[in-house]
Amino acid sequence: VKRRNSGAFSAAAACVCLVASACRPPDDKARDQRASASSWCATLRETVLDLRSRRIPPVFARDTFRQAREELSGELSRLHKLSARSTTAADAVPAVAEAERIAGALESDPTVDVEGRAARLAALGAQLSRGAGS
Amino acid sequence: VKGPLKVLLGIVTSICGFIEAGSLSTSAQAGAEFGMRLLWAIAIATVCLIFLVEMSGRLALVSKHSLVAAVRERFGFRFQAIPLGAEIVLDTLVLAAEIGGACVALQLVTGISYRWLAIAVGLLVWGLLWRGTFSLIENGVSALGLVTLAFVAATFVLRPDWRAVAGGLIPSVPEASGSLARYSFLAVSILGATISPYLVNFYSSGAIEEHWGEKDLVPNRITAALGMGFGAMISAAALIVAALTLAPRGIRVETFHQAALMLVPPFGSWGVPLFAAALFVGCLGAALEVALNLAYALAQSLGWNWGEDQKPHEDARFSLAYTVVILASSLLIVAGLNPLKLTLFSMALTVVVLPLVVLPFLELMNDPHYVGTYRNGWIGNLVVSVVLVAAALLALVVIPLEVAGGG
Repeated sequence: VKRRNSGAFSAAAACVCLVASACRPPDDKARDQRASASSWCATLRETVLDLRSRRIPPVFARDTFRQAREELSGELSRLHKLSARSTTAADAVPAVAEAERIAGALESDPTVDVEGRAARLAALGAQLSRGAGS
Repeated sequence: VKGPLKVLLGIVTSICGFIEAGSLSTSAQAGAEFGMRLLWAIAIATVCLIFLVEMSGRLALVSKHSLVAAVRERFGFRFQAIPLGAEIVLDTLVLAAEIGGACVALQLVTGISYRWLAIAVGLLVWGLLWRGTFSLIENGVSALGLVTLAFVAATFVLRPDWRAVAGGLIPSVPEASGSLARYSFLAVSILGATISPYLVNFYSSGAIEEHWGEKDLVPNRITAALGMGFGAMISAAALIVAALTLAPRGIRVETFHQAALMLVPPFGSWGVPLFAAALFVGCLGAALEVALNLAYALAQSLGWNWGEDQKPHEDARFSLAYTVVILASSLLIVAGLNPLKLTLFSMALTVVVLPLVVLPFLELMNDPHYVGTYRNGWIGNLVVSVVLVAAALLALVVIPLEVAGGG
């Protein structure tokens, strides 16, 4: 009986948590997307600067740029979906779209305007992380 | 274990085999997102692990039973089927995560997608188990794990504020209220990555394979305490390095590519290759142990012939068990499961099922029929029970929150 009770308790706790988490406000979700996008901006910035100073292998940098573009594209589509219900999401859309474009450009040619792109990524990252704080 | 040299070898093996996909990724994520604040989770988990590993060795060398064999004998097969089922599911997921981690390590330096590499890595794991002996698996591959000491070296190169490091050993709540769920999820994942059920059963099965006896009680205690204690220092070092290099730059760890950047500030152009080597060796060693453990658990539960030192035709069902699980886990990676996300969730799930494995184990460790006069003290019973039950309850709360958060 004790084992059955503890199993029922666990199942009930899990159900309560699932219901509670499904009701998560869109602004909370948008903050997560902004934090992730901001992190990818920082990753792109570090990677392009490290590549220029030959501190990382070119093959690793290319792979990271590709991953960043794919992840930013995913964040962008999630923010688009949330933007009707959340201003935190809507505000982030232009910055994430620009970061995704820069990631694509770095994938094509990482040697062009390194300083300018790094500075822009830092600005986009800072803008996104401001809205990501709770 | 014979003589101080063997004890030393056991300690080095434990230290070098400590880092794998789970401990490395959870430490890197914790450091990148919360600085030093989750060091306490590694410390608590390590104390618990030392108790468990020492107990599993003691059980094996006094009773001549591995953990699984003793649980089956004491509680019967119908009871044993529950932890066995949980272990089969978990070990398959953890093995997939380790094979995936080794594949990503190769991707970091070759650019070839990890999905294409999964079958090759799976074949390497299978070939080493098929052709190798227990001491090759335990000592040979783990010795390569010396490369994971790069994280300890990086810590000293980066010169952390040791007061902040000490402050991280005291549990604290993060400032941002919205990050409490994430903080708790990472704490649970660290516990799961450190206290892996496979490690406990693997250790007791290894003691049987190596014919330990009662004379090895003291070496067992020394190996468990020093090996696991210093091994955990590598996990802590990875967390500190991530806190010093990734957190200030605003980089969170969502992929191993982001984690690899943590060794670039201390080691320059050696950083990414060193990270890849540490990840590959750690994951390869863990994959060998997890695959073997699953075969051990099945063979000991179902009464099959077993032993890594036997030829495959002498324990055909045992060899078939690890062959099938390696194939299944490799296919999960080929199918495109994200190794890092898989790692995190399998580590958190580990915590949920840990009480199923550990509570019967504690019962055995207090049964004079199995351990004679070498029964557990109340401190060991209390520490292990409280930590595991509290962690399992916390896991039940935070895992759904993380799933809904898109984790």
